[in-house]
Amino acid sequence: MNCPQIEKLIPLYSGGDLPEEEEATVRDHLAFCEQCARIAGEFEESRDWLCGFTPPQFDQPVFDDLRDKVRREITRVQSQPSLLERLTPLLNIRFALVSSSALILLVAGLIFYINHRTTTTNHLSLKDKNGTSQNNWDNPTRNPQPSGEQQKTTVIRSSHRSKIYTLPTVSTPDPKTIVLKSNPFDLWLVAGEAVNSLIDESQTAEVDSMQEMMRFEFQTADPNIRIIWLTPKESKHNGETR
Amino acid sequence: MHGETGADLMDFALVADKLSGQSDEQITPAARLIIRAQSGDLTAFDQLMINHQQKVITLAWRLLGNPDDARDAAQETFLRVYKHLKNVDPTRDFSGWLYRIAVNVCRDIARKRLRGNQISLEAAIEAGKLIEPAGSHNTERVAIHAEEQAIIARALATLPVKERMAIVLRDLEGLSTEEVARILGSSPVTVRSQISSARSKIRAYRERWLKKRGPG
Repeated sequence: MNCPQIEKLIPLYSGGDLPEEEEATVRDHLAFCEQCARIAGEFEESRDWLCGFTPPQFDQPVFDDLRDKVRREITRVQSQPSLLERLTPLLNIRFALVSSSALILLVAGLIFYINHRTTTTNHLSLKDKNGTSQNNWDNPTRNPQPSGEQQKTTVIRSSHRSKIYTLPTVSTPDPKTIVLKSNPFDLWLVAGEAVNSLIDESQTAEVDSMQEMMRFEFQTADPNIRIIWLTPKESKHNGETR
Repeated sequence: MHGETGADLMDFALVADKLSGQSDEQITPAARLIIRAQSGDLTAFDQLMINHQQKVITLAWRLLGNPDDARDAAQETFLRVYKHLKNVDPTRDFSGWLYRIAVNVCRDIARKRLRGNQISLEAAIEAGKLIEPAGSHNTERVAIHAEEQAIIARALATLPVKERMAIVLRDLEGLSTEEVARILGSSPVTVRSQISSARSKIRAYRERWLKKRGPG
């Protein structure tokens, strides 16, 4: 080992913190290298100097006071009632009755609220534009279409989502039948039954109203309601069905 | 057994139960004391404090450099010892565990002191709080000793906390590197590196101080 390597080991050597093998190497080096030996001497002096850092004499009253404070703190902590002990006075019959009654009322209220909400969700009403109820369909409230050729705007209102869906053009050749002409892909809630969208919105966007359309008719459980779905006919290019 | 009280017999039974499977040599008086303290005997705990109070307060003073903080640290250390005493294995190194708690308490106090903008170690030195004269004789010798103590304290204060803890435990408390590593929760290699760095810094500080002071 050369001097720089030995110098790195001297701080540990001075305190006897080196493994035996390295300690012997450093000792051998210090035997013939004056400069490293001088540095090692300085480290030893510095260590002795540090060890002279003697603590002040703490008097017996200091220790007595210390122990006394600790004992008092322990007694204070031990005399504090535990959480269970603090709760015990509350655990009497009156408290139990009141809390259980409150709990029952809370649960009952929650059940009532949930039931009421479900009923409201299932209730759908559709009315015609003129305010005349037809087959349980409510009057339109938004986007009224100009009258002509028995065309009317029909609004389906869902209280569950608090949204009003508007069918832009709906022809009703038969008052019992609703024809969805231009936008047949929305999600409708018909007479309390949710009918999921059959085609997603991306396909909807591609629909060209001028295309030849296929017509599907669905009869719902309610004999008064029939869903008619118009969709573009099979593509000539790839034979895909939209 | 003649003359032993019921409590003594109960203690004996407790000790025997705790140390079942241990040979007689392993049942030290210290272990017996710990077991009694674990069972809620405050006298035994008091004796434990008496046995270790000097060591704890000295360590705290060396780490914090302030007698008031050292007293607070010792108090908090013994409270934590009492709180966690039930988890201690009496046959294992109680001193090491105690040191570990004391070091953690000192670390917390030092951190709090920094956060609360309270006096630092160096400020304590300046304020003369660090050194408590050993006696009432205000001789020149005492004054020189006090000055030197202040210089050492200042040198220690320049070290990073981990290095200060490592060198105090190794060089001033005389613990082995392995013990220091256990107490500080690090590896012996790390502790050696911290000690080496700390010794180099202390030596450099002392050299500067000696040069500044001049010969004599």
